[in-house]
Amino acid sequence: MKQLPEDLVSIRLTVNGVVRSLDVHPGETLLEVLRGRLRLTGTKRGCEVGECGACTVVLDGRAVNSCLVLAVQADGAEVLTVEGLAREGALHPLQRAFLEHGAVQCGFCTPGMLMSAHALLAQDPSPTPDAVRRAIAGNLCRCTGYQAIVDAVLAAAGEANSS
Amino acid sequence: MIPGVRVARPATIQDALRMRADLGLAGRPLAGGTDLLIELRRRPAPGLTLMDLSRLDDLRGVRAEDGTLWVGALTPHEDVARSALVRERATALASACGEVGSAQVRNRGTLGGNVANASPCADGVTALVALGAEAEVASVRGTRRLLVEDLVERPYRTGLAPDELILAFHVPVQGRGASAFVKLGRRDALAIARINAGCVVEVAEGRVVRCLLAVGSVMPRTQRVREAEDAVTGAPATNDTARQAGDVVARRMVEVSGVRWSTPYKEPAVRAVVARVLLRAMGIREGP
Repeated sequence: MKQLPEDLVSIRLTVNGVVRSLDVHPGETLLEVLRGRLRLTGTKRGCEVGECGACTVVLDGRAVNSCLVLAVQADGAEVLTVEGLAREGALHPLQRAFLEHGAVQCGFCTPGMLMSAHALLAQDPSPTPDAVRRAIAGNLCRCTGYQAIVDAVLAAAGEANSS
Repeated sequence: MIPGVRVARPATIQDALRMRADLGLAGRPLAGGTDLLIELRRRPAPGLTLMDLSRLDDLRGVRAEDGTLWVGALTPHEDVARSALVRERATALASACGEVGSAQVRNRGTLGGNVANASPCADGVTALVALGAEAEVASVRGTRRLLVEDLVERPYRTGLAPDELILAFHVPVQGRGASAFVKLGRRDALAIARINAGCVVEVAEGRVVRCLLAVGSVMPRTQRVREAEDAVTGAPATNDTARQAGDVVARRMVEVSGVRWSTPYKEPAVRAVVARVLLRAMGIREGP
């Protein structure tokens, strides 16, 4: 990382498997870089105080609120966003389960929910319903009432474990 | 966008301390950012240099030292909560860190940041104070150790000098499950504590032989309540004793903080939270 004119900072991070080199403002958030510069607009801007979880991405294996991470803090890190879930046009099992269980209504919380669920299953492939609820406690959904989401995450876990 | 800030990323503790000394009040240490970035969005501080500490890997982790656990100041809440050492030997701290915010906040927010932010309802602070933990604080002038209870002076103010950084916490180890933490929020998920309490209780032959009890969001700062500790020590480890301690804390709260709009709610709630945390540490089921 070197300091550039006008206080821009060079960073290098891997987003969905692709290495990206960028010059960012010191006060720019990871969310702003993902949406504004990399045009990865699946990650949503919500409350910007860490309560809604709409901006959740997986940073070095952990679910984080990308509105509360400076882009410079992600220098050298690996970021997974909702755009990185599908493989060769095929939806990720979590995405499929969300659709099958009616866990997507307006869809605004869905990318964040998926990323929280993804981080959970990477750590705990067979979570209990309570563990799922705990993992998505930082993701607000005003449509579904959550049950369909919990069901979808459990179904995706079950499918991964039986295959 | 956090307007007008600069960012410096020290690579070593020595660099960080030198930078802190050079910048003084023109710099703010940035750990997990889950409080600071929100604050700076609300109240911009143009010209401020954020010292991002995330490269200081030496300040992360938990290890056993002689009679204490060393917990690096930059250890995220999630790692503290999951640490087998902390869960067994400083249960109150693991519980407290496990109840902070959401998974996303626990993954970024750090124990050192929790203490430096000094929110009156910080879960980590209450647990550290209850456990009698010390903070290791450093500057280019040297290193000192002080009780977390003395470091957090009042809401959002610590006794840190402008050139000092918290490096780590030294947490006295307890017997398995001898400490506990209880938080009362408006709901279970992602709630800021209305009241929290932590304690250490040692029981021998059915009697309490040692008790440390701290409450947060009850008095102007998170502190131990010696009157309640004294009331419990020597008494039988029972529901009645736990309830009496709750009464003592509720009384102290009104003496110290006065009668406020929240008092009719807080008095019975404090009583219940204190009784619950003590019973949990005693390993006794809460009575009717």
